[in-house]
Amino acid sequence: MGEKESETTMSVIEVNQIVKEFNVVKREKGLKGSLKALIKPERQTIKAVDGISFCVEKGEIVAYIGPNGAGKSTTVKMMAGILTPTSGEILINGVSPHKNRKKVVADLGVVFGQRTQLNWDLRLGESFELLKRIYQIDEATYRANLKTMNEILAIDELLSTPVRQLSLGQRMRGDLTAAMLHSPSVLFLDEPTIGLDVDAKNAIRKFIKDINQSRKTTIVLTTHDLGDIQELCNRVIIINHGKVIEDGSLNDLIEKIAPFRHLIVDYYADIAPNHPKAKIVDKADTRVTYRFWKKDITAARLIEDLSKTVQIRDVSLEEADIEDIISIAYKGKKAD
Amino acid sequence: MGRIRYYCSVGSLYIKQSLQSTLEYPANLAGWFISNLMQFGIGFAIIRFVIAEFGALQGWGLAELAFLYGLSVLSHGISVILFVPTWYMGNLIVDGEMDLFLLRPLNVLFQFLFLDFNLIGITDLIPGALIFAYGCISLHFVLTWLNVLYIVLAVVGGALIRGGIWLMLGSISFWVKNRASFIVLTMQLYDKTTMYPLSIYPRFLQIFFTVVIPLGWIALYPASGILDKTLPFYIPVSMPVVSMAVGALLFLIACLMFMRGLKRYESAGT
Ligand SMILES: Nc1ncnc2c1ncn2[C@@H]1O[C@H](COP(=O)(O)OP(=O)(O)OP(=O)(O)O)[C@@H](O)[C@H]1O
Ligand SMILES: [Mg+2]
Repeated sequence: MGEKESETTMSVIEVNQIVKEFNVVKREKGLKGSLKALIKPERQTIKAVDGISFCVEKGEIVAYIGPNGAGKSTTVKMMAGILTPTSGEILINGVSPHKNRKKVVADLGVVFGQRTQLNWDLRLGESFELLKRIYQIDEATYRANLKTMNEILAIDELLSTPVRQLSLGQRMRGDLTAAMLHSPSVLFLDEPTIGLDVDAKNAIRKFIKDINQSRKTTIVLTTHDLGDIQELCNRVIIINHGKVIEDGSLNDLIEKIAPFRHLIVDYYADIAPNHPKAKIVDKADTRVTYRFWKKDITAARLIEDLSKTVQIRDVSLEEADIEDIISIAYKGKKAD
Repeated sequence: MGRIRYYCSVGSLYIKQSLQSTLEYPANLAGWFISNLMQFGIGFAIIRFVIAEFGALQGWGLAELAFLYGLSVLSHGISVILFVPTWYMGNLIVDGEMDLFLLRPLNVLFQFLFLDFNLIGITDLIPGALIFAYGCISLHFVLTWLNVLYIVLAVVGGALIRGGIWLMLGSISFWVKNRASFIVLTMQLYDKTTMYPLSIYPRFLQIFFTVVIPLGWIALYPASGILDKTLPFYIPVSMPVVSMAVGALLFLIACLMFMRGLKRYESAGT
């Protein structure tokens, strides 16, 4: 407490060329395979993370996304001090989680959607009491944090329930509260909305937004839910096969991968007038689909031009589908 | 100093909460009590039978053997209270459950050992104390302060040897990443080497259980020391304080091995 950050240039999270290799024994099916693995294990090296670098500034919410097995959780675990990078360096608030684990995790909140960090045998409130003791949280801060969490996640009603009796959504509320009790400045959320219903998802998104706004908490979030990204994140880092393939704002990403829109025009007659700044990509009877680049022409102007030559019955504008864009980005290609 | 106070305060809360959750299932505790009473009752009955059939074993009569067996069961009870998490270490490592400990600003080994302060071990201590009391009374063993100190040293030392061996075997999972459980094997070994004087075994086994795996110090040597029994081969110091030293050393080595292994910990790819 009371320490002033003297360096203003330092990023909250600095990840520099990290690599993580796992040594696994190849297992084959059946008894024969198990015997073989026992007698003459065939070792195999998996490069789960392959030279990833990025920086995150104070107060950012970053979506760290990629297909299954891309290396997201592995990166989060390295940043949280659980795994040691095979090479490369990570600094959280200027401290290496690998060299000085306790110092880093004292100011870190981590939630894994796949696995709770609460003790199954305890009541939720008892788990919190234990964390209060472990993180040496003073009574006033503890009360204040619980109060805030209760306002966002309605946690009070769960305090006396044994953790093993909590539903998935309730447990996630518990895990998020647990991660915030010591007022960490950095939060890692690995699939925090996995398996949750719409209401629970909304509650958790609200939580993330509120915490980020009121406390300037820096948040890195992995998810497969594009709604999370659209609602929360000013920045998206896409990885695949352990490498960063995109890093920027969602808008930039859309701009980069699908920098065009589609205008669908329904004419009264079966004709398809051309326009110098738009390309016809589809025609079905009287419905014609034009593709145009935002930098070339606005939608309004295009409609105006087209309606000058032929009478128009109806128009609709189609934005690039975020899901398609992400899927294209995963494949590392451009839309056509 | 502040660190020590901090760890004591966290440790005591861990213990308090473990006790609470154990006491929430009193039927479980009662079940273990009955089963342990039977198990150690049968153990004692076997010793009685052997003595009745074959007479004293190398100068160890029923009273001495009850003393020895009681001491052994007491250290077993303590080791069950303190070291139960070592029994399923392989699973914790393979399933990546050590992640949780690494996320807290606390020593990992400390969190691991306090994960499960197992009150159920009391159900071992009670039959152990009964058998031990039987031995003491039959031997007219006087509980002077010095003798009490000897017994405490022997019991704690024995528990540390048991726990140290478990912790070492469990730590192997950091290297080989399997779930192998060694608990049945070690329990058998502990039992077989603490119920009777080791001198009933061939010489090389006696040496093995003294030097390589120091099981003799769990109960036999301290009991010999306290009761002033001569052993068939010369043990320089069979006093309980040596048991304590052997236990502390073994446990320390086991802790170092754990810390070494933890560096290789790779979580799990869920
Ligand atoms: N502890 C481990 N031991 C061995 N291999 C692992 C381990 N953890 C991860 N891997 C492997 O590393 C790769 C990356 O896994 P990771 O869990 O980081 O992916 P992810 O991006 O989080 O995927 P998902 O979206 O499915 O959660 C996978 O091939 C996985 O099998
Ligand atoms: Mg993952």
